[in-house]
Amino acid sequence: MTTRPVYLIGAGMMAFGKHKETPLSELAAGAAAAALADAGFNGDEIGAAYVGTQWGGSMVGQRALKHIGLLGMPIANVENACSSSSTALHLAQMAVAAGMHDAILVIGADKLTHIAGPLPRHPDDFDGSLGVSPPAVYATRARRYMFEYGATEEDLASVCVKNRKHAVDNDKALFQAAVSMDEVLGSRLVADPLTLLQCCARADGAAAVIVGSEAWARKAAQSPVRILASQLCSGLYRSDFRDMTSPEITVRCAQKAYAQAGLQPSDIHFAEVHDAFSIAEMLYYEALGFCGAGQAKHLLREGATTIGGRLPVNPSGGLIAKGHPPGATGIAQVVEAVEQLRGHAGKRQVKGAKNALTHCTGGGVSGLDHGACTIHILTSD
Amino acid sequence: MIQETDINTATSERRLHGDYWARAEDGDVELFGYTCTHCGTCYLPAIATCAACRGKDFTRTKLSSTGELYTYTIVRGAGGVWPAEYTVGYVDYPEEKVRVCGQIRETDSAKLKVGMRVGVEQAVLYTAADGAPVTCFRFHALEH
Repeated sequence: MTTRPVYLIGAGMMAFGKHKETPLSELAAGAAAAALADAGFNGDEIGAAYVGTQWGGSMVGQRALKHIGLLGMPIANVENACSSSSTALHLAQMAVAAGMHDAILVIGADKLTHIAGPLPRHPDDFDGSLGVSPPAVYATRARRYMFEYGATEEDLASVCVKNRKHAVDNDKALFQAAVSMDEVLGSRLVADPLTLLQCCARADGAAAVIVGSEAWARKAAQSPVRILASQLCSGLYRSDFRDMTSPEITVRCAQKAYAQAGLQPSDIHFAEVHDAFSIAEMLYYEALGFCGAGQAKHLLREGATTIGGRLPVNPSGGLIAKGHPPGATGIAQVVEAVEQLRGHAGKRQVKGAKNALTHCTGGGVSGLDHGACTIHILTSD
Repeated sequence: MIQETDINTATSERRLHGDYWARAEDGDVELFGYTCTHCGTCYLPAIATCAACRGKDFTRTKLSSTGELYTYTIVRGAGGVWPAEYTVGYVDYPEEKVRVCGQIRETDSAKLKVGMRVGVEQAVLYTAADGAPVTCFRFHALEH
């Protein structure tokens, strides 16, 4: 089947934080309106809307788009845990690539600050029923990774120090204050070796992008960003000796994405990765091919993944600093990538960035590394 | 096949995942997996169709009496039904080629290390919302 090139032609988001008084539908509508304004569109251009949420309940798309007069078109609500809205983007770009639509609005939205404690796993999940909470999932990976590769608690904490530093200049982030190594290591233990500041915080927020064909990209107000690769994978179930230091779902999804884009890991100029916990970012450096097994600590120690380094990771501050409304996170990563690729990221601009990778994975299911993984490779070239 | 079951017994003891563990006559707790009769892949918990060969027939298999601790974490302040501090981890059974998730008795990191041998006991993991103690298998360290 012949497919068309697909572009990101509008992007916008509501700040991640506590929006106690604002209904989720209004957050989502606000993000959608920001993306439309960014593209210079009035809404008549949009042929469909795909909306990702994990905790927002039924019909978030319809509830949101009612506010801005965008009903009647096909609206699909998508749930894939942390990958909900990046899955919606994957579906939207397929529809544009196939010629089914010329412009599609993609929204991600969630409200979580009213939920106390770690997010629950589904009660029918075996590991979850035994107390494997999301922090415990990543803590067990961290324990094994430290055992195999000699990474230290300071290496883990340095991910947070870096990402919190990046977010000092991000007014959309939940946390905009830098933290020291001592503060990260001194915060309370949640699941050893992970301390509280190494666990992303729940947040409320919404983000939106518009994907469109080349012809519609030319009509938009901003310079377009092309989607070179869009991949969605589900995890594989193993009852035996899965290597918990190398999430196979991300390895497999990355290989497919690089092949689709015709690029290598060394061609990526910056990445937004799913740093739900400090250890996660280290595992993903390796799974995405940015370094070899056990080498993530060296990238951190050298400052390679800090803005100004050779491969900045999470210039937005990532989930660690921005907070994590799971349904919104995937599109928020893409909004950051679009701003960076346009050269509009202000003080946190990655200089000369032309190729970006966004990676969003999650969903706790026993025996799987994750339920879902999405990777997008974007270019301004 | 249902993977997770709370079995209510006459004594109102609630056995979590009761399909997978039992107390033997000598008092030891034994773990049971389900092995695909076609390709030999072992599962704990059970599965309807073998992920390796799509076989649908399984044999209940007693696991070796000890396993190797692959990884663990001590969880604090989880809330809900959970105690203020508990340890959970994954234990490998090389002979049966299966990894089992479970809680671990020790909550002091100094008494645990990756790769150590662990045995199995039964223990109350938590008290359910209706007040019933929930009993399950639990691992414990065999070396110090």
